[in-house]
Amino acid sequence: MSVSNFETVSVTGTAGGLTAATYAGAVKATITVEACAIRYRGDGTAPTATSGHVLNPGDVLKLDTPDEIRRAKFISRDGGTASIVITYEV
Amino acid sequence: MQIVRATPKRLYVTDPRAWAFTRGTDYMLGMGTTTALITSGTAGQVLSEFGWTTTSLAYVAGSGADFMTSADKGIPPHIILADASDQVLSPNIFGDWAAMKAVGRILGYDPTALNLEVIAAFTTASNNEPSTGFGFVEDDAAFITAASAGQIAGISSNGTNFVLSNDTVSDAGAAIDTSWHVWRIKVTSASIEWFIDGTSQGTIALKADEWPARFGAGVVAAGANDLALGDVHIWYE
Repeated sequence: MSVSNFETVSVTGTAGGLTAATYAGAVKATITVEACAIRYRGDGTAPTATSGHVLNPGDVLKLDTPDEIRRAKFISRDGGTASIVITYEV
Repeated sequence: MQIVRATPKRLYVTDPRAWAFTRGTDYMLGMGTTTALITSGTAGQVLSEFGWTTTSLAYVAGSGADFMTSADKGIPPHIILADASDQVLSPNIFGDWAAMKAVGRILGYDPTALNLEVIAAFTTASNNEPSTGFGFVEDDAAFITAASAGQIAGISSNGTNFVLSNDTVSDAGAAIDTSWHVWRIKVTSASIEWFIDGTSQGTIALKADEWPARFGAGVVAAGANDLALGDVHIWYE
């Protein structure tokens, strides 16, 4: 494994995913959460403020396949703006 | 997929006398252990000496419950707010910028939500009394001020339904009853949502320029509804 790319994504009250152009070719991603709590879904469906895994600042989410990376969706839990910091590996 | 949780950093303020001078992530008012502080006590041990406002309140010990189940809650330990103008008010310490920064130093990040959870029963709920109940109260105001004027988010009865309201907005929830419930108010920058036994009842909008808030409960002047107030937990997340 080697690091292939890196990005920081803002997570707001509108659900979104990772950047396709940045994770292209990656097979793993390590994601850390900063600033405020978010919710995550890994099935490709957008989470809501009340539905999805809660990730608090400092938590680490590890995605282990390209499909998990592609399907990952995030949203702010309480309306604030969080950041997720992602390191991709190939 | 794997989630690795950060080590929780929470600080519990379990002695309500310390609410006035201790920053924490969680504030507890436990009726089973602290009620003597509310209803009576020796000098230096009464909540009113520590930034609280309390009237003379009766205490009822817990009784009759089954073992750790919601199926038979029995009578939880509680104080009775039944006489007109009975009230309990905490210090003004919740939800402003300074509190957010202080709690952020404990959590490691600035909190984005403030929660209030109360075990309580409206033992009489058949009257329309928006200022008999409990909730978050405006800075230096009282819950029992008429027409919810002192409330940021207060749970009360309109005689037919339980209601979350303040003096500008209101949201009706479940039909009234006299049972014990777990009541929760969650404040975020987006809205104030309320729950009864974990079920969302709806939302109201925030009020500006009214923080820091205090916890408050009471019976409005000439009020006829009655409140049995059990444990209180306020926390940031």
